[in-house]
Amino acid sequence: MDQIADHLIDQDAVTIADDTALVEVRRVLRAHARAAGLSLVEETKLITAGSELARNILTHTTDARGRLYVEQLADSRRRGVRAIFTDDGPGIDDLDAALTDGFSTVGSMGLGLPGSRRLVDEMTITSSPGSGTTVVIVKWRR
Amino acid sequence: MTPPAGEQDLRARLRDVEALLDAVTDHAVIQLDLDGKVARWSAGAQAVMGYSAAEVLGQPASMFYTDDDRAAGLAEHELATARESGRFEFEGWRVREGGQRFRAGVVVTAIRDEAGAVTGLTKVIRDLTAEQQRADPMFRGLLESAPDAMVIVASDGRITLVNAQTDRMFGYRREDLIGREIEMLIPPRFRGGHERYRSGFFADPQPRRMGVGLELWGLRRDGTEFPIDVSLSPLRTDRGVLASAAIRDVTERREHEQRLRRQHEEIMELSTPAIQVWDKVLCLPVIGTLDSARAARLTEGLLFKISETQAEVVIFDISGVPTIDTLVAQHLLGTVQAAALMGTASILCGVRPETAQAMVHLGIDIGQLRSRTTLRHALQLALTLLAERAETPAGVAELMGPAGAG
Amino acid sequence: MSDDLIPVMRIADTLLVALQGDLDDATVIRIEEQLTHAVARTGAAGMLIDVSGLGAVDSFIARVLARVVAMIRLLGAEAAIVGIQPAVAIALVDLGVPMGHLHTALNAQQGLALLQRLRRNGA
Repeated sequence: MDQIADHLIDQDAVTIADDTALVEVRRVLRAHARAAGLSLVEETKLITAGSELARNILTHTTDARGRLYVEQLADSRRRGVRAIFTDDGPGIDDLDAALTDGFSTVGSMGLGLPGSRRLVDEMTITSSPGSGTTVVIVKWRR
Repeated sequence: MTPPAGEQDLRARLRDVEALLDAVTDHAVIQLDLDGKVARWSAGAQAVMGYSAAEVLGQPASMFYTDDDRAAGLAEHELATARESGRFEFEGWRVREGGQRFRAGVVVTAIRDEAGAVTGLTKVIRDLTAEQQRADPMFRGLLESAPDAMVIVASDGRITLVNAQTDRMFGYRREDLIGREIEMLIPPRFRGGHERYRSGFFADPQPRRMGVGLELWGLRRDGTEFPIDVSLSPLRTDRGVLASAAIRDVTERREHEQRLRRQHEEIMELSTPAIQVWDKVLCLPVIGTLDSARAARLTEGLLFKISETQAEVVIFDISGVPTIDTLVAQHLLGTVQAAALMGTASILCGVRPETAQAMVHLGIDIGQLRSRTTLRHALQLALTLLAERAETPAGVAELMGPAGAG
Repeated sequence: MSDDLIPVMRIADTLLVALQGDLDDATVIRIEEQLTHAVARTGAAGMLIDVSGLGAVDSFIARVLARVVAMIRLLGAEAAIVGIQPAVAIALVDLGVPMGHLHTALNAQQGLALLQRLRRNGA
């Protein structure tokens, strides 16, 4: 049983204020992925999606506070990881467009939302101009 | 009033002796009374131990010992031995003012009066740690410049010398490590075994990699643990054998190994249908309909197998797919893309005329993906591709220096 | 000047470097500088960037890699990325990062052969 999984965490929170937070975001997601028993590919997808979503918060909000909450999930059939990314930035104007590949505002890669969507099993976005954004992603163990 | 001639002589001689003693500045010369309390304290004693005479006169000699040694009554034991045998030479750890520990070479001699009775003891203390540092500047230089954390341990398990990498790796200051037991650097659950291992090493000191086949862990000052690799070699000195340990933080390597192990396990679980039809050529027969879950499993299994077999070409045989739809095509193309990221070329085979029609209708563009009608033709193409890629002998690899030299 | 963050190996006229672990953005940028300088300074004809030690590659690293390759091309050399791990490859495809223009290989050996081939074909 590897060391990281030994710290069986139920919940974790990370403040996303600058670039250095991304390493912590990935570390926490990796720990939770292992604790939930995700496969290597599932873990990699979760970490990649999480890194993108955290990056969004940094690129598209200035001065705004972003947070990540990660928790273990379990229902009668399976285990998984839920990650909640919130920020109190300007919010997303056109959610539909944002979820379409090729959409771009600031920066060269756009919001990375469609990509993240493909990497996870479930994704829910709540956002409106002026009231920030919340993105919830779930990755289940197969 | 001048003292009588005899006494004057005596005082002069005494002053001479004291002057002689005070001229010795790199050895501590201390006189203890029968109760083991400090009676005389030379200039050298102040230089080596840091305390002034006023601070130590009348104090028990045990104040210069480490807490553990003091609790074990080592001071009393040494005094008793010296009183019995008249002269006693040994090495041990002492603590100077400020708490800094150092290795000490001690000679204790009994002082006797004309009747032969013991009236006190003289202790001469040498700072071996300082001597070692002075005597081996090249050794210290080598130690400091070593890329790994270097820790030198005496046969009693106490740390004698460390380099800057050790400080950095474990988060301690040098002063906090010297004289302490080496076991402080490993997690508590391994300490018992490590002590036994240590005795074994000193019984038969041979250069070796420590704990082959075991996973070793280091403990940092902040309580976190990390995986390490340790190489041991004996250092023969005129004071006995020391153990020299080169310690490397292998967190990344362990991660990499773990990843490979998990990949391998997952391949076993996935029981991928990919077949190796030639050296570096895999064939994946795609049969039946593919739902997302199955497609994902196939992709993963294939890519892991590419990694394991170092395949350079993959042949996707879709002759067993009754109808190709957009979803299947998407999965297929995604897999081809992922394989391409790994540097592997893909060939499609088994495309029947109906399939080809359906694909054109659906607007499925296979892009760079090559297609052949039969597996045999696909294999021929694969071999051609391999021949094109045939490697040439690599040159000699060298590590470049910081200035780009090398 | 960027001090040397990662060791650079030299095989004939090709440089070989390895990225590993979880790198923060600032370090990635510094490594990017180090690599570009290394190619310029040595006049190397090729560079292999081994990423087998990277457990995850997000859009940032992907972009930096693409930039490094482009810069190296401008310097008259060729670059290839080697050792993208299976899980990483799958995630990159899902993420949708355009990486088709990058030359890739399974390992250093195949990477060297690839660079040779590119030079033969007059890249």
